[in-house]
Amino acid sequence: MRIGMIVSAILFAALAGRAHTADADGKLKIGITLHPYYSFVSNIVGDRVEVVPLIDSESNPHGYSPQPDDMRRAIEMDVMVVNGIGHDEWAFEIIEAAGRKDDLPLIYANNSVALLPVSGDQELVVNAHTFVSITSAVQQVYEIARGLGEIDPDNALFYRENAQAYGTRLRRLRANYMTRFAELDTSAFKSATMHGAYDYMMQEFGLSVAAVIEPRHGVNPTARQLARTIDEIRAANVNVLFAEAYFSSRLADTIQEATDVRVYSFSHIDAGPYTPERFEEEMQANLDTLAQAIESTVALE
Amino acid sequence: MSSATVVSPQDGRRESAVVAIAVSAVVAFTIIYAALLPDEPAPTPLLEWEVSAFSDLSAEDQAIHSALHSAVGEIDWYYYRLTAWPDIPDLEAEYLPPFYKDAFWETNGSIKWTLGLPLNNDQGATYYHGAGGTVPGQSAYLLLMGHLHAGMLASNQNTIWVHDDPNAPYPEIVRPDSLIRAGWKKVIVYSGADELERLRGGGP
Repeated sequence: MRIGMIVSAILFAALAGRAHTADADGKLKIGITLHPYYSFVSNIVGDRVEVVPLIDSESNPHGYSPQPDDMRRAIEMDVMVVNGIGHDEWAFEIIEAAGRKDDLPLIYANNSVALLPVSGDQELVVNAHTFVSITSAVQQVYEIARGLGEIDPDNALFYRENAQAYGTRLRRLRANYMTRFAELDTSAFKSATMHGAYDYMMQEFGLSVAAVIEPRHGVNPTARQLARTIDEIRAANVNVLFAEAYFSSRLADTIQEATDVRVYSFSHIDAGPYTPERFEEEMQANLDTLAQAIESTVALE
Repeated sequence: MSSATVVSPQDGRRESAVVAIAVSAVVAFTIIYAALLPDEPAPTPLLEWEVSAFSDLSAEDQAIHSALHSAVGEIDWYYYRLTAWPDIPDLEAEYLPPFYKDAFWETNGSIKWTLGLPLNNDQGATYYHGAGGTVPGQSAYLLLMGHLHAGMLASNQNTIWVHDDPNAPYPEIVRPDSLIRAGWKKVIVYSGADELERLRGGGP
């Protein structure tokens, strides 16, 4: 992969000489690495800035292999918004291969977010999925708006006001589901997740995750690890397993057969088209799923 | 005529010596290189009156801390626009956790929040005090908004404190030394910036 990156970097050397400044129409080009950041940035900047995804929309950001087109896009960006805590490590390879390591300003969306460990992990590994949460999303939106305001001071107040309006809309979404959850007794609801992506989201709704099936981010468990997790699920009386909407895995079926858990699917917003509405749509779908799972637990109790 | 040159076989001593010197050089270089490598960045050790938000708090305390930490930006912004500190009903009107009374609020102990306005001896510190939690083992909470002048966007001196007694009263003086003497512990965040420092020394 590294040789391919070097060859690609040479191929794009001519492009490197191009000025990576604002467009002909004066618009800045803001790069983003993950789907939620496209939504966050689009809602902050409106139509005053061009938002450029670093990788294609259908690419899986887990274990992603950089492509030549990624470098072309990196060369043309004025600034890039990154997760920076483990979910887009490939972006730094692309930046380096594109020759932008020293001159591409980066906005680290998570700079001020209070991080949580992945549930059930004895080694307290940092959970990088801060973008699958409304509360953490609002915090990242503010951090991005602040960073953009420093780079583009003429529009700083515009960005800040948009960030606040977007944040209020997101909190209203959260409040709507809170109202729905408040009518339910969640005491019998015990969940496990296939992917360790939902600690922030569950925490902000007063819920927790009893077990995570993947031993590490994007890694399937060995037979021994799976057997241990199944034991944990039984011991903790887990009754719901959240699988992944965009990953096909027969693991969920295996666990369901072994434990009788009910299986639902969450999205951690890593596929599909880049749109300003995508974060809200996917979170709404996640929260609908969560509500159904809780309601089904209440109905069975 | 022919002349013969006698070539005597080497006994291998010289070759062994060369290999030994090469191996020694490699080992020495490796040891020196390893010794000169900078240590992996490690979090600053906590003081006796500090607790880690990442590893030391209960699930409820961690949830409330995360919500308070996130609320700081909103409260700062409110103050910047209106030059007045938002009271609890103002924060509830913004659906802002942990103040808004919803399922999160109930699950995490139905905390009663009050706003404390600055006194002269507090150097302008305003605080939000939360107590009366119903979850066993839960803490009391204090969000301290540092000295902030009207019209400034953020003080950047905001801190969050917890107290083992869930009914700990709000402090008369909110200076750090007074808080520590009263049994409050400062919550230290493990933030994205800290993780970035650990992963790549703070840069790309």
